[in-house]
Amino acid sequence: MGHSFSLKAILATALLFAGAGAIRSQEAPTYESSVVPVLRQTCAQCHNENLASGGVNLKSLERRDSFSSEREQWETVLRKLKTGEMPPPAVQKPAGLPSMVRAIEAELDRLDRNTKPDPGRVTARRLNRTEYRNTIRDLLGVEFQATQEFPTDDSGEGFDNLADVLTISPLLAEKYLAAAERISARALGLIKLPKPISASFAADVGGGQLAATNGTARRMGTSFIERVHRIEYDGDYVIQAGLSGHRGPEGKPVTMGFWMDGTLLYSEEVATTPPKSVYFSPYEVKEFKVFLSEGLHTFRLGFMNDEVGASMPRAKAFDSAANKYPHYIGFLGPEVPSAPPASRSQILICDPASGRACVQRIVSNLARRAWRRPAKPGEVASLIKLVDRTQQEGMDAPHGIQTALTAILVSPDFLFRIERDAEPRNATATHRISDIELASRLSYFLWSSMPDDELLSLAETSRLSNATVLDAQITRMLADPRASAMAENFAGQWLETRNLDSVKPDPERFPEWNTELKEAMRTETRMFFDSILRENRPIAEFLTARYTFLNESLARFYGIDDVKGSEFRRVELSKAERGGLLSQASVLTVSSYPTRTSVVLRGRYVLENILGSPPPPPPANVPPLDEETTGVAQSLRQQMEQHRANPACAACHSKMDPLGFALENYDAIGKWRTMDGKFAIDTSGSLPDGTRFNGPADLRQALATRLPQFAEALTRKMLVYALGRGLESYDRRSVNSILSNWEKKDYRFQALVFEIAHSLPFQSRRGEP
Amino acid sequence: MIITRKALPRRTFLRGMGVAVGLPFMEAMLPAMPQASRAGAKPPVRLMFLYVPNGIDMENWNPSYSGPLTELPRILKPLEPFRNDVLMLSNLTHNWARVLLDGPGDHGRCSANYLTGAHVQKTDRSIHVDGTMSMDQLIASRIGTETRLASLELGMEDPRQSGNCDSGYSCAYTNNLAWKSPTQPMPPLLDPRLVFERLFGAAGDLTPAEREQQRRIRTSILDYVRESTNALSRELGSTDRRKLDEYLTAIRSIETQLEKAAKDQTPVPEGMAKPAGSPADFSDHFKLLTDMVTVAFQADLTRVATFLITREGTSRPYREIGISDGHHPLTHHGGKRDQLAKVTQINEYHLSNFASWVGRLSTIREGSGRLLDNLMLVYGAGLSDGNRHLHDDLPTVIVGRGGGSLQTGRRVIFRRETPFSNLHLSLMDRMGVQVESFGDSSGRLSGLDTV
Amino acid sequence: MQARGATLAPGILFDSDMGRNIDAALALSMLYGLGRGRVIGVAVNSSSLEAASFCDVLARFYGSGGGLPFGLAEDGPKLGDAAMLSVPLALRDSAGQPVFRTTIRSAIDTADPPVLFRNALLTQQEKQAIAVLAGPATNLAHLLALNGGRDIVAAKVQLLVMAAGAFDGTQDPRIQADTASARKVLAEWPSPIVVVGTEAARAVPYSDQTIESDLSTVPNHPVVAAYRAFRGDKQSAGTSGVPVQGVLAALFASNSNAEYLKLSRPGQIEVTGDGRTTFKESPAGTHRYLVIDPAEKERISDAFIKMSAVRPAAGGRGARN
Repeated sequence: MGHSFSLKAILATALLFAGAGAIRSQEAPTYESSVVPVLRQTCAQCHNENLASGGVNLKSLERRDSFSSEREQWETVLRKLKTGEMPPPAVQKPAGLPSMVRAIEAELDRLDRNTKPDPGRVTARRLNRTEYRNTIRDLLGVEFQATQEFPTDDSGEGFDNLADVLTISPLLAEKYLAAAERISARALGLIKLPKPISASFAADVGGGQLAATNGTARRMGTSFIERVHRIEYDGDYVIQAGLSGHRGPEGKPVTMGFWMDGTLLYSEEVATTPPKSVYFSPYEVKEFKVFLSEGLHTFRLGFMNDEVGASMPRAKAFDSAANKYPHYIGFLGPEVPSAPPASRSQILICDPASGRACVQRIVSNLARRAWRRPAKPGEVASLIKLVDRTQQEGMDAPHGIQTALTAILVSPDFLFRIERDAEPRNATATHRISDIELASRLSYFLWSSMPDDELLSLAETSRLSNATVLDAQITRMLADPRASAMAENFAGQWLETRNLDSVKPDPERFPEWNTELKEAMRTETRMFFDSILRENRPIAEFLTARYTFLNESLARFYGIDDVKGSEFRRVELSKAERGGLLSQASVLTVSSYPTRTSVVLRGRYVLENILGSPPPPPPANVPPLDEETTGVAQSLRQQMEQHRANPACAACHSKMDPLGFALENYDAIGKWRTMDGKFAIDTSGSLPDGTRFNGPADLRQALATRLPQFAEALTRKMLVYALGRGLESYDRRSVNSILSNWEKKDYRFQALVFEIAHSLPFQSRRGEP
Repeated sequence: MIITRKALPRRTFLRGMGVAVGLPFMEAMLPAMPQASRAGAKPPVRLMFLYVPNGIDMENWNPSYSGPLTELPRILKPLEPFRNDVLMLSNLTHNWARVLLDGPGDHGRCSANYLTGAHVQKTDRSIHVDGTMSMDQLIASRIGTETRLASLELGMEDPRQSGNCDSGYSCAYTNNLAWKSPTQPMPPLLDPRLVFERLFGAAGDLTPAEREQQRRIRTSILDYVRESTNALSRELGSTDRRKLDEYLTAIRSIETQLEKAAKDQTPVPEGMAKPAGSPADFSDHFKLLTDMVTVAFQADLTRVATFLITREGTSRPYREIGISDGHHPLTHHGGKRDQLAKVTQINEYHLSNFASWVGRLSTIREGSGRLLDNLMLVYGAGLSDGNRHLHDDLPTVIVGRGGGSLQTGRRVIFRRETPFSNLHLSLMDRMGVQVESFGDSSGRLSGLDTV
Repeated sequence: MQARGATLAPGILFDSDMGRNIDAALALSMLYGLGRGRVIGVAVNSSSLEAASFCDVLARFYGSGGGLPFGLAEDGPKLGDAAMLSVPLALRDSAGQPVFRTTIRSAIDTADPPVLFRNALLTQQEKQAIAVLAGPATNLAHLLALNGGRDIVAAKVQLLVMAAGAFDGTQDPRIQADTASARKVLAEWPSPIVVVGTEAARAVPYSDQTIESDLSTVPNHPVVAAYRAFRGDKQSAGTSGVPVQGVLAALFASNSNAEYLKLSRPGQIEVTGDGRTTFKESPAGTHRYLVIDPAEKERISDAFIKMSAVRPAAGGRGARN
């Protein structure tokens, strides 16, 4: 009775205030009218208490209050419906589907409207190894190899910058202290060098007067040799370059080059004609002095663009009477560098011996930059105490500064990115982060490094949060070389290309695989991503671009001619074989096993990284493929079909495998093929929603039609990376608003960066429950 | 952290440049090494866990008999010469590593659960192992102050750099064995050079005076850090504070190390060279690391170590023995003989590396006996059958006599479902750390010390 | 991932004095008859290996083997000569092969009951499990004493059905065998408890006919073999039948809302010094005991028959192997 009365009351008010609205609301799909029926008639066929297909039972959603109690489940349902993944092709699509989607969205929005937006909260974030290295570089101009010195950072959600996963162990703290001491000493040029010693390496092939004392150098083709070697001290080193043989009287001069980690440090023109007097095998030693920085480096010696050497037949290549070639690298050092390190003068902006005032200036300047915020007088005072303390030990002023700098570098304000809450223990106390905090969020998002002076000064004068200023800064930062960190760190993890170092393709099966090719693959994807970002291209190009970035060796690997030389350049793609990320060797290699391709791994890769709907993990004891017979007794496809006959596997594999099959034209290191063993490759398949395709080119197009889905996947990944935390259900609103704004900007890549930088979770935070 | 070098500065520097990669130092250094046991005193017992992933081919692991060890099955064969120092344990189970209500992810679970005996929360955006800390860290927290390093964590494989690790379990679970708290793993050191620096100090050849000076300055820097961190903590919420507390704890452990270093100064063993880095070859890498553990134990630099040989779920191929397929894919052999054979080979290879270390250890004397008499090297895996992801009858052997507290040369078979955590309790007893219960323990293991 | 919000059938723990009389055998076979996966953990309170072996035989007979091992008390009583176990286990077929196979060779093949029960319970969702006790409470008392055991019981167990006690002033040997444990369980067990007393069992005996006629329709039924050995040359219990506390408990555990199974009002059950069970009514009490309504005896007996006559489920290996 009372019930029906209250119902009358509602109707009455509806008529009073809403008028025609009441009638409209009858037309609009409601939960009762459009959702429940489909749940009961369609979904419940599989997602019921007994079957619970995919571990999902939707019974609990048949009550309206489940929207608040089971929000995440609803999010999933909505995603599956919108992506057309559910209901599966086998099941007939109910007519009410579109109105069901609208009704669910309406319910979720209603829920949102009645709840205050939640920006979430990021825990104090420790700098990860990359951020530490970059920050030291930008702060002091010191190249510190954090990845060599510190234990690996753990990662979560596929990224190694998640606050809650980054911890500090006693070991790491030890390393921080040791690193801080070393770095500050290096920056101030206070390291006392030992007596110079020599280390030398000769390539196995060829010979000469110089014998290697420390092992062999690796040959890279005929014109280059390479050696990984640890330099223990910053300093000048005399390099001895041993060149063996000659190219006869007509030999043209060549340009000899010496590289460290890919950067050319020295070059000189050398003759290839026979030396005046030849007693035995002709041999020439070039000596030159270069500055080498501390750490483990890859050194390379060779002749640039040496057509002659490259075209030498293997037989004559190392015949010292027929060819001149690099053979030996010697290091003699360290010697005290001609000039003190630039960082020294940058730190000692005045003479610390001149007294308090100067010391104070130096210290507060260092602290401000290192801590990415102005240093309080009290803080500076206690740092100065350390300077005094050191001088009481009888050491000079610069050493005093070194102690202070060390302390600055092990202080939590440097090691962590800490954001303050007015009310740390009040979860509802939402507030904008300060301009200073915003500056660091921006710089670590786009540069994986500290804010530069322009950014920091704008923040200190509270101008950064102004939308126009902010946009101007983002534009400037994206144009800055440091923005390459996005390709290195975001793309490297989103696209999993960092795993190029951990996947180890079988050299037997893939003789072409070597370090150079691996690095070339990595470079291609990095430059591809970088260009789409910097040129603000539409993200559809990730999937469909008809261009990429190649050097000679990678181009040859792709079967593309007329790309000469080791440097990379943009190349237009004419053949359908390649185009977009999913045709890039890096991506195809990290999604394969060492010995073979895996349609499952590649399928998962596409679902996870491109479509953003990762499949549920496999059950234990899955019947694996028969490695040996693949391509021999049975084609991979035949085996997978069997695999999928098993209903337990079918549910997910029917989603993953077809995507993988479309990429079967690429072998386990991404080389094009049309046969798998003795079987022709069948690359036909269909998307979760039933869209059919045949081969990589089709797949590209098919995926391009799923642009909004790709955009959402990319948005979620980048938001996790930018915030340093996993996304919660309350972040859906931010994701949706980012997406709708971004769509209006035709999904141009930079627009996403701007949207994220302006989003609620990026600009605000709250206390803890 | 600071240790004097006996060797000539220039020579060690030369070596420092990366000349010597191997460490053929054992015999050479013995005289130079101070014994952990001060005159007369009973040498301390030292504990180490060596963990191999993806299970073991149990067919070739379990002998057909129990009791005295005679002929050993194929995988354990390499240990046969030392079988009188081997105690083999069967039927120990880690129930929390099972599916229970958490679904797939056995690799993620079993590795984080191995030393904690606790439930591992299934999450990829944060990390949490229920319970307090792993048993090695519990030991370290009790007796760690007696040695320069409370504990030593080693590993040989670079963790996955991106992508997810196991079915919704954070990579932290498979990258680490030791846990200092439910949310703080202790990352393993992979690079022998860094291990060397941790044991013998990175600082080159300082005069005693310079070293003292360096220590005093370090101390004042650490004081400064503690004060500023404390001040900062007060302004923050609890999760932020937890992060800073982690740091404070770490700072304190450095301070203890400094004090210890001030008192005793272990010389770098004569002829022991600072390694240049991680060798690519499995055996070389394994030898470098274990030889340094030998020194650490001999010189009593630490009494508890964990060694995550490779990670759960690793797809590392073993070219060293002609196997190009990844380890993990191989273990899902579904009963295919040829694949299983390769798994067996990998298991054997791991064992043979371990056994050759044991061989080197067996020659080292300590006090009136052998170093081995005072060690407990627990070698094992968090899965038995890697194909079916089984967590019972976890393959486990202990090498060394735990200061006479272990009756070795036998295989002991416990009743089914006996918690692996019971072994943890029994080992902690032998390390002088008594606790009532640990993880899901149901009591102590009986029959380890009596036939 | 667990099926969200799925309400799964309760998993059942069964602890008994298997071998002392036919009751436990009938009860366990009834529970296995419910289907694969329903029985999650089985232990015996004696230290006689045959008792565990016979549980294994039943599990295999109903195709429910291969899960967790069986619990065998560490230092429980010995059964002496229990024909109902030894005879069936000794049966050989024409080929000389055991008729009823078991892989339990020694105590090593069994588990410590409290650990077994704890591990089994951890596979259950909150309050999903039901524990059935048809014997002394020793193992359950140990479970409560186990590290973390009590909390896990509190979290996972919705009900304990205890076939031990008597509410007609008499004494039940199952209580007297270990009064301390019975007292501990009744005092500390964190879930509601329903007790099936001896008087209830006597009210609805299990007729020999049912066993002889209905069960034996399945060839080589281990329970039939056990029953025949159990009865031995004692002249047939005739029409009176066998009192089966455990079977009633199993029946209640498997359909607790059957209206023909009546319960006392809530209250508190305690164990007196001389091992009697007393009931004190109290609205807040979490204990009840089964009350047999004479009018319902028929339906209860029918239920016995229905449940006992279940043939080995699909995948059940029957007696062949």
